[in-house]
Amino acid sequence: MASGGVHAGRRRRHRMRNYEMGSYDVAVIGAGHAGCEAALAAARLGKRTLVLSLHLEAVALMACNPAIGGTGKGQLVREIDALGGEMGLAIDRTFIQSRMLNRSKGPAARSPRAQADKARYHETMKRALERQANLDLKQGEAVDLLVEGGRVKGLVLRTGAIYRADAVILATGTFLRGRVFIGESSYEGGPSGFPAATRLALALEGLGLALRRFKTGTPARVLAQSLRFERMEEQKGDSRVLPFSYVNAYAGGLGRENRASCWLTWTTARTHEIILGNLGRSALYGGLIKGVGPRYCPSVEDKVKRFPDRERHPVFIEPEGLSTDEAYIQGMSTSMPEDVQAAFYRSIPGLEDAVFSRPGYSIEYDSIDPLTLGPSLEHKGIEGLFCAGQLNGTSGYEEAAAQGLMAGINAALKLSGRPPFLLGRSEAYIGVLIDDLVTKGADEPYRMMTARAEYRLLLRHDNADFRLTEKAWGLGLASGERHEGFLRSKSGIEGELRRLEATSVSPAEAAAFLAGRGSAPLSERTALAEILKRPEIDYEGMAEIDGARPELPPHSRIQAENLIKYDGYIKKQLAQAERVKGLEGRGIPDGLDYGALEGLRLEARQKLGAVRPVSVGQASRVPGVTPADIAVLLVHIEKRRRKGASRDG
Amino acid sequence: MIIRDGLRTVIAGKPNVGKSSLMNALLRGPRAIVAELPGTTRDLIEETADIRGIALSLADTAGLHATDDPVEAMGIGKSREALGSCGLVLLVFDLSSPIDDDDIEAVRSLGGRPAIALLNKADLPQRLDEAALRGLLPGVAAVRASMKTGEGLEALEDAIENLVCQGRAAPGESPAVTNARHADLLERAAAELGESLSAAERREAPDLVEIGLRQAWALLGEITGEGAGGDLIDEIFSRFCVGK
Repeated sequence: MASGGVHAGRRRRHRMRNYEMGSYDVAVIGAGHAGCEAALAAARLGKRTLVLSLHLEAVALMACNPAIGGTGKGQLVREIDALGGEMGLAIDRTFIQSRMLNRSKGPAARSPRAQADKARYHETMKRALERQANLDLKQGEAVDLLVEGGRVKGLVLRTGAIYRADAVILATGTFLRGRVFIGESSYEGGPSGFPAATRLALALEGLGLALRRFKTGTPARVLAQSLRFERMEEQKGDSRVLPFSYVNAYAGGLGRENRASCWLTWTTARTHEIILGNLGRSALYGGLIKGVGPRYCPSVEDKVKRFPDRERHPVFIEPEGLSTDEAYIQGMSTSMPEDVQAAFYRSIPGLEDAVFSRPGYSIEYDSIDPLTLGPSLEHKGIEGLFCAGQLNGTSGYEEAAAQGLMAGINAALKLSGRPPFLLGRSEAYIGVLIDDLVTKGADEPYRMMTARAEYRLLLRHDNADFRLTEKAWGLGLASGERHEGFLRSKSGIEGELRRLEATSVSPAEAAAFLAGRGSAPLSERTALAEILKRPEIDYEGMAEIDGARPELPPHSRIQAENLIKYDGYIKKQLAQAERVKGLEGRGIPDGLDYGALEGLRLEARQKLGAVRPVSVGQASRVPGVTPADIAVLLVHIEKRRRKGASRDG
Repeated sequence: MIIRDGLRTVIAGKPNVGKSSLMNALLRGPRAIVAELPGTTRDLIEETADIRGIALSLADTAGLHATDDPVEAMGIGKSREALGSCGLVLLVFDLSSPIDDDDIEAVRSLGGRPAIALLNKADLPQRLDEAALRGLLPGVAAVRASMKTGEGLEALEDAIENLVCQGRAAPGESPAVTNARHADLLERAAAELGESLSAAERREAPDLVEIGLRQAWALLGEITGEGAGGDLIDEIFSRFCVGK
């Protein structure tokens, strides 16, 4: 799989001379949400790091929705933050509206989401990269990788410049061989009018990487001044904004308020009629697009076609920032020609006179099969090559950032000769995300959802710091400020738990409070912790019978409340996770020859041979592998272990 | 292992109404001895029948009637025992003879258990007052049939399917479990399901209710082998000598 090196540069037109421009420990190709976190993590772990972007205005570009977080994704952001990543800090600095979703649905479903000022988010992240020690952010198009003896050695720019690097992280997003579709027109291009990275795709194929086409899309942007907001329903943010970043939470909050509203409206019968009547002109249905799109984030053509019984679909108008009048039409991504777009958007109440600033479009791009990656996100065929983000078949900024962070950490650890940093499915959504990708693969763009996590009550947005910050501290990714804040917060919460268990009230003291909430009266003196466990009682309201409570910061109140209220459930889920850990801890020897394993079914041999799981736990989740196959595998490993032991003894 | 057991179903009725013929028809082949002589079936015969994917554990019983024959009385005693533990009664009547005390006794023995009345011998001249009989069995589906011609069997299967799918007929007694570990797993699974149910009744959030469900599923998976538990290998190595 070794490449001749700089062939892509030499083959082109006249003879171009390549030249050395410097050497780094880690080079990151792409500075989107994955690339930014990857570069920052590697640099913060002391590695001299280069991060390249095709265009510096595209750094941390929100090419689609101007928002961070959401169901499952909000949890990812809090985990990225607890591990010392940047996304939470950036959105805290640039949000214009923030909301906690699913407040009524239960502790595992609650997820923070914030509208960002898109331009400021980009500037803030770009500034973080510029200020980071050990990190160089440069504009440039990587067109080839240097690979020698199956190991990555660096990369080559279109200009002929060579940068040497011991590890390369690919975070190419939708730029890799990007192709934009608007109706019957299509052209080579990346997101938001930026150029595509086409030569790099050819070079990766030359190195033996199998690339496949995925697609995604975005709606048109409108000018808010052209909308009739009185015909829509206002969606306000929360009155008290909870920060994404724990560092801000420890410091007592953000001190910033919501600055904007979103607006809800609905598609009409006319909208659907226009779309159905013009499907033949849609790039998606006209047959131009071959790539596979995200099932959980469909275009409006898909929605109308696939759910003919739905009379209307919700449409959210979301501001793109405070310094622009542009707004995003959430839920309405499309690949229709511009005239059809204008017609169906204007059939939506409030959008009758809409003026469009940018058309909606679909974009097809190259991605790899994530089964070719190990759990550290290193490619199995090329040593030192890490992959992250949409390239790995995911969709979403948060999913990308999470992988970028892990790829950056693992590239740095590898260069330091340290074992990879892996997270389990019961430790983090990040663990669920990467395990799903490298074990089950992705046949369509993968989006995080709370339903993907079997231990979701353990993986709440509120406790990401309890789960991960000590690990970040151990790695060297948590700042002293973060770590001290965490320890202070932890001891405050633990003290409050003890106090709530030790403090009791008499039936008479609690009578009026309980009656007011339709809760049964007490029969004897009862601990506050016990009362809090009742579904109809919450911590905030209980202040009425708990005059002596300490002043805890908002995020600590949420944590304390969840720990008490759901204590029994949490313990049970912990026990479930613990039971499975036995299999997770049973490593599979490197280079195990599945073909030679007697008793393994053919399908299992092929699947296990392709995935090459690192643990029996991972093996048990490979699709097509049965418990009987796992038993065979376990027996083999144990036999091998015993043989080794008897030889030693 | 669990002895495969379906919905415990008792075929009851006074002697010679066609209970054994019904059993044979449901099993699609002769199993019980069928004779013209009343009281031929003295012992309890149990067979498993597959009715549209629903497993019925069928018990053909000795006819319920007053008798002096001690052997027959023993059979009748067993029939009553079977009735006590069953989840569905197929109560058979003879359309060609009028309602008598034994029929009324058979109706009484139902005691509110889910039942279907099978009005047999529809091929013969009718002498049974059908309206009166239906009056004795409020809320019980009645199906006219002839075991001789096969008429009405479809309708009977419809009635069984309806009753089971509506959840009105359910296994009357837990199936036999012969392995202590399985018994323990089943009990723990039942406890988990109970906790989920009460959490749902307290209107807890779905993420909390599902924890017991998931746990019960995992426990049941340890019996069926659908989830390989962490200690599987230790068990294999403790029971068998492998790899020496």
